[in-house]
Amino acid sequence: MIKVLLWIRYLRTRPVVLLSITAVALAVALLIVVASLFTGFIDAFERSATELVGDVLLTSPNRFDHADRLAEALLASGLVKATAAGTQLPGLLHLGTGDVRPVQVWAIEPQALEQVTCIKRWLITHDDNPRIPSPGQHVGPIPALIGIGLLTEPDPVTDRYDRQRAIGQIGQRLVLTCPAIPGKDADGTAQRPGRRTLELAIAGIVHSGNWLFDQQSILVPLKAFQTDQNSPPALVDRVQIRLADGIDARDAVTSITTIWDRFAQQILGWGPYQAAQAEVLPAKELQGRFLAEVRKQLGVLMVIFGVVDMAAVVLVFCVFYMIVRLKIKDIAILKACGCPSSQVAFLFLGLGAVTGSIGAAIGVLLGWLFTHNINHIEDRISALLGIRLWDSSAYLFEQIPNQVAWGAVWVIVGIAILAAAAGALAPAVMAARARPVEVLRYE
Amino acid sequence: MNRTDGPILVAEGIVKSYRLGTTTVKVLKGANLEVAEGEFLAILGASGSGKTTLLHILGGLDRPDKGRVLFRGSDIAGFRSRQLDHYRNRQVGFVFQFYHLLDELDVLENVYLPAMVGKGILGWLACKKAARQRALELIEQVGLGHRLHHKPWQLSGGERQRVAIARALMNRPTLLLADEPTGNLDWATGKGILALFGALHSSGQTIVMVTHDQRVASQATRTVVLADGLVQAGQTNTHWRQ
Amino acid sequence: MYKWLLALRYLTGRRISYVAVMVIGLCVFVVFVVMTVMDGLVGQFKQRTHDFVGDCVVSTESMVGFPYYDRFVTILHSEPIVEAASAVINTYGLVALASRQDAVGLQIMGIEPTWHFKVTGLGKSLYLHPDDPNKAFLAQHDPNLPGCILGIDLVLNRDWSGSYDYRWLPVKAIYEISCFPLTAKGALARVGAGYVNAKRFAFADVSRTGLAREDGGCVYLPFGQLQVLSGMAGPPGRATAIHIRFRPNVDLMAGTAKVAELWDQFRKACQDLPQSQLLAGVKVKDWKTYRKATIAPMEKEQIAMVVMFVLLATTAIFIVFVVFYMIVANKARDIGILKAVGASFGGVMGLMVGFASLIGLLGASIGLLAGWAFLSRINQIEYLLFERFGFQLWDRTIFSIGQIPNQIHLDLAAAVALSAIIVCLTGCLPPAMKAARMQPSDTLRASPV
Repeated sequence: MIKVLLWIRYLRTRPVVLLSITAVALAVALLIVVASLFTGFIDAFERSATELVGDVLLTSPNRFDHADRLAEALLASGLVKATAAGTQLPGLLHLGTGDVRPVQVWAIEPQALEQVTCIKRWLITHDDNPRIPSPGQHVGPIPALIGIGLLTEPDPVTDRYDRQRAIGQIGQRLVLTCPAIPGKDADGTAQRPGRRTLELAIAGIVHSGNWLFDQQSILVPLKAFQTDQNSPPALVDRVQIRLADGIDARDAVTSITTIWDRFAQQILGWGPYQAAQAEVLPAKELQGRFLAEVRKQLGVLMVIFGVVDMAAVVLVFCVFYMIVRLKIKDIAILKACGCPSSQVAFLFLGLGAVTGSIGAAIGVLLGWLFTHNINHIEDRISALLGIRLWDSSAYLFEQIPNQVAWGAVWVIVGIAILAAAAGALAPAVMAARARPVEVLRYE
Repeated sequence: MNRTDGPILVAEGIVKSYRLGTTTVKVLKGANLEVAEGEFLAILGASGSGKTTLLHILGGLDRPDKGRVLFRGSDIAGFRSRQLDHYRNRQVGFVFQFYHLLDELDVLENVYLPAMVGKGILGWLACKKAARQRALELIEQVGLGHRLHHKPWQLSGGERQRVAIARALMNRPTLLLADEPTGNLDWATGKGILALFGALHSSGQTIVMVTHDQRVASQATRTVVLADGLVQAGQTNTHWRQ
Repeated sequence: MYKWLLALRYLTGRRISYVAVMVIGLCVFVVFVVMTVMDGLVGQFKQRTHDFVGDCVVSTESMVGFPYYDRFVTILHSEPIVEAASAVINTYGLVALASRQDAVGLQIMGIEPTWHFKVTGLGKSLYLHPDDPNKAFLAQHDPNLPGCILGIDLVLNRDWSGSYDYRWLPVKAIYEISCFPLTAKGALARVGAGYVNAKRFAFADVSRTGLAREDGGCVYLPFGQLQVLSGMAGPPGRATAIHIRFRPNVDLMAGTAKVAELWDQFRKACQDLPQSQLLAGVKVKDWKTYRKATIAPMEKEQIAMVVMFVLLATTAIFIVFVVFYMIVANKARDIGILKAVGASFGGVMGLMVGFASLIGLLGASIGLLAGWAFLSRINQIEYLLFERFGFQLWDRTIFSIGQIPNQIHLDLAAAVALSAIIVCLTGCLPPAMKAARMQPSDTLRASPV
């Protein structure tokens, strides 16, 4: 009880303890903000991958047909909710007078894509309730969905797209050229590689928030790549998979690989070596190497800032050292009244931990406030200074990730409390070793 | 030091109060005091009577709530900060009960500290030799010539008080103000300090000393009593009458 | 004088001063090292960009280009401030290995090597025939085909040290390059039954500019060949840009202004010629403005780093503040003594400010010294870490960085040191003011009355 009483008294009457609490709070808040920003970026990247691609992506270096039968097998397994087969091609898009852009063509049925990705949420059309264009047979230009960044540039100050201007271009005709998807003729012979030029019309605009996707992507129905109505469907080289609820992507990879192997060998007639060339990956791992680098940068920054924040620990040491020196007579009196040395030590050790706890709690609050409102803060800085710190063209996303990394928070808080207690350790030992007979001697 | 007629220091109607928590304590309730040049005055009072407060006001360390303190006719209570700093540096030397030496400086540096105040590097370099000489003389005078480069924590209480006295005399002040100079010392050591004061007084130094000890007060030429916030009538001490 | 004496004594005699010195030293070290490396990376990037672009660019953003570029180049070559000028076509195309079906969309740049190598550093970036305009487009395998130069990352992978194994150069490769030819009105020109021009080119060389976008996404073709491919052969022939190198000692802004003046005059002189409306969209920019879109993100990274360091500095200021608060609390008696012997408000402030400056100076010196020592060995340290633990700060197979830049700039060191002193002064100010305002009687009495 004496400990709690003295803790409260010291906290109330020793302003320097409050100052060390503030130092701990600032240090904790800084680390939380840094960890949250980086972790948020990594999470946004991974989330973007699953939103754009699905949960799992199967890719094969060799194109194949009968994708519908593969889809049936996957759905029958119970692991998979939906699939969308297609291919990705590089292309050149003529948008208008003197405007030619390199694009990434997603040759895939939009209806199937809607089941696997979040494309419907990103779609902008004239309607309030946009609909994915149905495959059907096309007369005239082929309806295509186009990334908003191909139609308009983000404002240099606000970094926002002019959606109205983009909507105004719906219906505009475009010309796309890309490699043809070699398929098979009606008699089953393989077609020669070549080039396709397609006349398209903008049926809708996709604004995903992923800068790269929005700047480069155009979705064209796979059927558009069939040579004619009677020819077999175009070959595909990728299958995007949305898993059933509750299925973990990593766990599903083995089963999906098994299903693919069986399909490739039994339906496509491929040998085991050719079948094994295909890759089945959780979507989150598609940019694994890049994200590993980002995680590494996070680690380095945390170490750098953590080293400097260790000064707060040394500060706690100095504060407690000073308190012990000033209060040495009080400590000697406590001991003279029978208080054991361990209790005296724990008094200061506990006060150090309390300092760290209160400081960490305040730091978490500050860190949460800053992270949660970081986009508003950035808007204010941008309005004040006229420059945009967060640029979607550099950082790939339009909004700064503003979710607090709670996993990292608990680690940082734990370290802060332990560090503050460690800072108080030496003074606590000093206090425990004080000898009343020496301290209380009259001079 | 030449004695002149008329008091050198006059305190008129000094009132001073302190807030202690929610209570206000009126310590001085209109104290009047005169100090003649070359006088050795003791202000005797019980603990808490306000004698230290009065001394601090006389020395310009504190300002009264009401009243005047005239030093050679000028009211120091109305001095600006700069004038007060100069007054404390040049006209007054303080000796405290707890010595109040700077732990980072040795004996020599503590003594010539008042000479350094108010001077830049060039100014100090210009007068350093003379200041050092004066400090050495004073240190010899107080019998600590063999402890020049010792730090305060290496000295006994009496030795520290002697260093404080030497410091107080560094700039040849008109007034030496001593606050319980023997309060922290044993009687034998204290006698030595008082002997030093006696010698200084003999050479013409004006000294005002506060104490609660009648024996210490009796060493002065005149004693006044501070009670109930007022200075009672003074008496010339017997041995001086003799 | 007593201020400096006491400040030095406080610095050497009080252990808590070491805390403040340590904090400042650490912060200075971190900021100095990070800013030097970032500065180096940004500086490197800017230098390489400058090398790639030249000093000034006359260009249009439209892929239609503009006519009569050759006449303007002649005017530029007669101008005393211009060392060389080179017409360029920038467009996009599909590039595929002739033997395979997969293609990739890339930036295609048409250059005339004789002049372009004088204007930019592209010639020096070639591997097989550096700075030799006559052999730049020499096809390695099939002399019947025109040659093409590819960005090095298109054909080779970097290893862990950022180096390339040139033994794997695809010297026999043939590429099929397809472009949209555009009319002067910007519409697609019909080419036979379709809209696309395609031609085969043989591998000639690789270019390593050190710029990730160019090395991983650009193919260089002979100017005349690309003119035909992109439908710009005319008449009148069109180009999309003219790159210019000024003579040494010509001020960049003054030179750019002069070129802009010349262009204005030229445009007015051509206003009655066919397709002269295309000249209206042409702008004259210095190289920094021309490449603002790629330079700005890197500069923003620097600003973001500075913002982060401001947060760090705030923590440091606070720690210094607490240190001084404790020193003042401990030194209240001393300050009372100083005031008792006549020290003024300014004198006490001067003492604390002097003390803070000494801490800042000492901390900054230690930090800068440690930073210099670390930076001078940073590449060896990185190599050792990679050898022992497989750790590399920047994976060279992903990032196009060679050695970590470690050149020390004295102005940056001075700025960091000055900031450290300002941090100290800011942190010490409130406690110093408090100390200077202290009533000596409060600190010197044994009891309140």
